[in-house]
Amino acid sequence: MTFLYKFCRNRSGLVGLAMLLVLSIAVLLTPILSPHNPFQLNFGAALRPPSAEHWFGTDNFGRDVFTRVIAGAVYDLRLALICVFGPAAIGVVIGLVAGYFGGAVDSALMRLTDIAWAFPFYVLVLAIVGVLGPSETNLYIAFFLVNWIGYARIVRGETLVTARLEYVEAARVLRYSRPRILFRHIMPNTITPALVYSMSDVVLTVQAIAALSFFGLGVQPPAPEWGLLIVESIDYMREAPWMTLFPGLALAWVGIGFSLVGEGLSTALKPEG
Amino acid sequence: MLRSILQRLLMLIPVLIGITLLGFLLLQVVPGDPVERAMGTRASAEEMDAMRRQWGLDQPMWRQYLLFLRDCITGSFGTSLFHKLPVSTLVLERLPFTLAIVAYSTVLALLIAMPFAILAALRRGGMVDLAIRQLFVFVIALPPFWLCFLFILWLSLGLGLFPTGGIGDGLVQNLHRLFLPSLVVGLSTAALIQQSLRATLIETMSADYVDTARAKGLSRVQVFTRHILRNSLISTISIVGVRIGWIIGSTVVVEKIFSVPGLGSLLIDAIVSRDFPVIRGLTVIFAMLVVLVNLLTDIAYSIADPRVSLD
Amino acid sequence: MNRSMRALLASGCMMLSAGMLSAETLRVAMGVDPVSLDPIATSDNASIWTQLLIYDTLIRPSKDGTDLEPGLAESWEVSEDGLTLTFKLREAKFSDGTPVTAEDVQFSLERAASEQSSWAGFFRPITGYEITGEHEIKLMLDKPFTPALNNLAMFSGAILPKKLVEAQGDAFFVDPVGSGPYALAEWTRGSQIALEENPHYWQEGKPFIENVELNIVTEGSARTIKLEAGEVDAIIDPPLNQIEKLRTKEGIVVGSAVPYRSDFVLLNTTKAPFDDEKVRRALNMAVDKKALIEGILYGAGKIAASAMPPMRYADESLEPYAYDLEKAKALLDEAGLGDGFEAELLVNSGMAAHRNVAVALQAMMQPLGVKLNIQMVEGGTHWETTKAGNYEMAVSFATSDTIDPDQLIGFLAVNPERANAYHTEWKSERLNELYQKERVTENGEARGEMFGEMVQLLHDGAPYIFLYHPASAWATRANVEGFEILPTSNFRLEDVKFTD
Repeated sequence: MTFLYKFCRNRSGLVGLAMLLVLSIAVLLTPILSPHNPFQLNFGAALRPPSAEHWFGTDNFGRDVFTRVIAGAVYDLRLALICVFGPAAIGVVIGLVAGYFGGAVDSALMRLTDIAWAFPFYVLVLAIVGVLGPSETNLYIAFFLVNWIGYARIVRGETLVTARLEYVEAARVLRYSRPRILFRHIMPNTITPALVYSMSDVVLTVQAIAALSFFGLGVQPPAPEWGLLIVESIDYMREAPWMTLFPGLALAWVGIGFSLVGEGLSTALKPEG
Repeated sequence: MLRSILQRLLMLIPVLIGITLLGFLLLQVVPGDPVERAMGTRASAEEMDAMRRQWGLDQPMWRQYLLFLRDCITGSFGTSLFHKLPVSTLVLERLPFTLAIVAYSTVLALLIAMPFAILAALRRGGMVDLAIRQLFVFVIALPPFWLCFLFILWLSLGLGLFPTGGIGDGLVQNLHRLFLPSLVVGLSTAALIQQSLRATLIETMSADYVDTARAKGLSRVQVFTRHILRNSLISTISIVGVRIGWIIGSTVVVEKIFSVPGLGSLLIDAIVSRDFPVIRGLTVIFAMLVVLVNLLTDIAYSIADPRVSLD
Repeated sequence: MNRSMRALLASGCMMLSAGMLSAETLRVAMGVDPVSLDPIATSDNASIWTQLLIYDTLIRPSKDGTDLEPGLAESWEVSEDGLTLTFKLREAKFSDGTPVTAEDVQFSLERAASEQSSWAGFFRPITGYEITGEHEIKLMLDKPFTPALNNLAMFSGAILPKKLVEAQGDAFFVDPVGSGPYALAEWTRGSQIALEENPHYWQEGKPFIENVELNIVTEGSARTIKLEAGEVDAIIDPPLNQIEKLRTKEGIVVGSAVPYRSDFVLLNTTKAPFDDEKVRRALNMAVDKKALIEGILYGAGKIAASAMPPMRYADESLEPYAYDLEKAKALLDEAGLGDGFEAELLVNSGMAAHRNVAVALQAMMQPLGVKLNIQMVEGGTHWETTKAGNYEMAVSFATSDTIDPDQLIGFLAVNPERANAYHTEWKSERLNELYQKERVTENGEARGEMFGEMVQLLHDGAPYIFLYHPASAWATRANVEGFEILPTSNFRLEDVKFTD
């Protein structure tokens, strides 16, 4: 319980968690409470500024921006979480294996990640999706191809250290099976830095997903994805800045939330002293 | 010194070859025939056959890679389907703008980060330190492409301080025109620099030689500027070097929005017109750029701080 | 490599050193980037607009789009039987100072009719050439072909210098030479086309403005912003929602015209359920076009009764499909699709209005149980996918490059033809027959009636969901005089001047 205690003592972690909670509650409640449909057109009510009825105003089709932003959270968070934790799982396993067994596998992996590291994240994702063509599936392919690298490197490094620790030696002496040693004994120790890293990864990934939509390479309309909401707002930026402002703030909200949780985690997980 | 630089250059060769291989393989994931995907029904069957031969697609995979490697070594990096020009020609036309944004944004990042880092280091652990840290968490969380529009809306349209995009004539005009795109890139760099600078400042402040300097009778300000700040700044060079991939990557988004004709705009245009040779060549060039800048910062670092060796 | 280094140096220098800014420069912002300056290789608007500033055609559409006027040919004659067209060329020069001769004309038109030309069908009816003097040429036809003159007035009939094109091949079009009012100075792809005055231009005293910059600014609002900030002097296609506001701004003049353009949804008639005419008609009735024009074009457009724009021989009395959900529902019932169906709708992501149309259609079709899945693709892919027939529905449009409806009807309604009824594969034998007849019929009432019947057939067969004919807008600083978009969607700059 010291972890929970430490996490709670750190205010930023709590604030971040609260921010994400607030969003989740809004996602759960809005479809029940909101009188507006995120897809229903109403040309008569187009481009209305924020008001008591439309908290974030309406867009060029008269759709309620608040409802759309909240509906977008489901989209963006689902995409971002899959695109981070899917590859993360793969990266963790690769890192564990490479770090534990060492040898040729390890050095090949290290050369590969060294080289892959040189490709700028945005360039790589854009190029892959660009070549495959715009669709949600291709978005997943691109992120799975790119996002595992960081985890493999982190976990491999940690595994190298952990594998030499006494209790792992003990497990080896006891002739536990290799998977058991890897996953039961080593992984729990190596996973924490990967977890901290994943929080900032979520922030980058959610931004990249929105950016891909922005270039027309991601999710297709009329999905209320935040990046799409921003693209669609550009021509109306001047008369209806709320159309641009709120989806961006939602992205920032998620970004800050995860960053703060990440900070809280890293302080709580830091070894004493 | 020279020898170690040479050594590093030699070590670069396998990395560069690896980059071409990885770039080649990644873009080989295209399902189906790339010629058909690129040309659609624009070309006749004979034209497509000719193109397959020209691309070497009738060859086995390893030959195809060698052909691409040859293009990279001879410096053309392939030929654009769309512009019918070597990729290198297209790249060199646009490179100065991208490099300008990278350099400009780094300078802006330093200017933004330095005062905050110093303040945070001096008041470490206090409210000011905490507030500054939260400020930069906030800055990083803002999506860059959205920030672009926010700045356009506020600084260009609202206050009329900056043009909304494009490039200008001459240094002064470009410093003005490229300010907003560089600022957007620079803000996220600033967050990084601030963090690392604060940490090294705190570390250096408690170092032995600082005490020695103070004992020699130098004033606090002198000690700070001559010793602590100088040494800490040197170590941030390497931070910028490590993050150069990120900085170069962010220019892609920013260039397109501010219509700066740099490498990023070229990449997006190539994707939109499905100019596969350009996408591939450019991806590889981006990675090489990162490796080279990394090397340069390492060299600069080792020159600025003789205690660091290149090995 | 040498060339690359020069490119690097050039752009490096441009960034660091200020250029000379003495001569007058007209700065135009447009949303699209030309693909190529080879007139027989392109069909995108940006290429066509730029080509028409650099090259001349023998004859050209008048500014109001009602007739043909002299271009490089100062006069022309059509023989009694319609089989010989005689052109008298004026004393014109290319921008490099060499004179334009009858040989250049023959070379250019033969090139336009050759294998490598994507516009060959427009020039193939010309079967013989006779050069009767340095400045006189006769074009011979096998059989009468009424659209021949109009086709010569198209961009693809641009007159090029024979010697240079032969000597340089494709490289000519990187740094082309023409006899139009402007010559290419520099082309920074994706960013800017710089033009300079052709010192040898045949219209004395023109162009009035020495330099022109065509700036590529893809975002519509960015164009408006640049105009307001005085960064450019004229913009093409400001976002329609901003036009009213722009009109009230001091120092800015807004203009608009209804060019020969039609926007519609292609229905792939080879795929079910679009092979059923009832379904196609039902979809036409399910679209509230008035709402589209109000909500998406902000009133700047006309409801379309067919895919043919209002131009010569257009039948003004043809009634558009009325918005009637009940009737649509009944028709779908008859077709056995009372519960609706699901279909994919292809959209060009680069066209803001079409993106909006797609979203609106999606909502409008919902009451019928028709579920549309939007697939956004970039322009080139859109074209290829529809051309290959790999689509169900696609938002699209067509513009006319000539003032005669022959080009468009062939494109939009005839199958087999160049586009096989614009990739819908819809076919009407009666229409095909009329098309062949129209092409050999002299201009006049009889030809008009044929067009009338063809358009009616197109309307009834409904291979498209007919949407609207949008207005085209432009805006300039108040000191710019004479800038306008023509019915053929392009703009001429030789008559433009600054008033201060």
